[in-house]
Amino acid sequence: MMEMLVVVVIFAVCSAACVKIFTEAYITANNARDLNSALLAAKSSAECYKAVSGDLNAWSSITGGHVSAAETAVIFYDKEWRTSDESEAAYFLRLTSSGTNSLLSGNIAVCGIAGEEFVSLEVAARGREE
Amino acid sequence: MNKSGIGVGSASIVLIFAVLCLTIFTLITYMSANTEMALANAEAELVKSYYEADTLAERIIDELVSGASGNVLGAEIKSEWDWDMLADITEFSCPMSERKELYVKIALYEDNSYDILSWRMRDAGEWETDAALPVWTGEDSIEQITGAD
Repeated sequence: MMEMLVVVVIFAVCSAACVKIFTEAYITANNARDLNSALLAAKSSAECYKAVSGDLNAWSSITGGHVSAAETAVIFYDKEWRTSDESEAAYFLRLTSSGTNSLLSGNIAVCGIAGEEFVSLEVAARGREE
Repeated sequence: MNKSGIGVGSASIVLIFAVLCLTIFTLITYMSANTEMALANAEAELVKSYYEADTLAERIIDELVSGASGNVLGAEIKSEWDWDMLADITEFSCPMSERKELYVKIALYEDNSYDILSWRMRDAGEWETDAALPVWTGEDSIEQITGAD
């Protein structure tokens, strides 16, 4: 009886410690997955921005985002990092464009809907030749 | 026969086995998650430094098209006229990290238009061949090499 009691106590303590470490590992793995997905989204958006020479309307039609202000466009993503509506969004990518016609500068920020920022990139694009 | 105290029975053996398995799986999961995070952080650093260099390269090209020459925005510009292309073949590198750089090569035409010939990430460090072969050449005696009296 005494042995069983000790076994149960030790098992309970070890299990609790392991569950705590499992939880931390799960959180870390989720953060890594979010960071990887955010990087992929940011890189893809940056290359699209360069390819369309900084034209936000063209960028939005390629990436599935929408222009939210004069120099700003946004893409919303759901929990699985698929493009979605704002109502289902868990993450978003915001592109802010500025600069002259010859050289445009875009700031890409990928954030969680709560506001935490995963990635922030500066990208430059040659403007369209008139 | 009176048995008392804590004995090592089948329950203890099962416990040891279960805790051992649990601990191993937990540690593997934890290490795997940490490795994933470290890789993701390294990728984030690389992507950031790449786009910083990319932005600098675009600015340098903008300056070159505007007629700048010599060192532009801290980058050493090398230019050579190409009679076949009738263009100034211009190349420069933008640093990304201690060991990586973005190498850019463009053909700059007289009408201030340009074609990109190369735009790639490459190693910045010089290759150093280790040709040293630390073997006894026969010139010194064993005593000199070992320092023995």
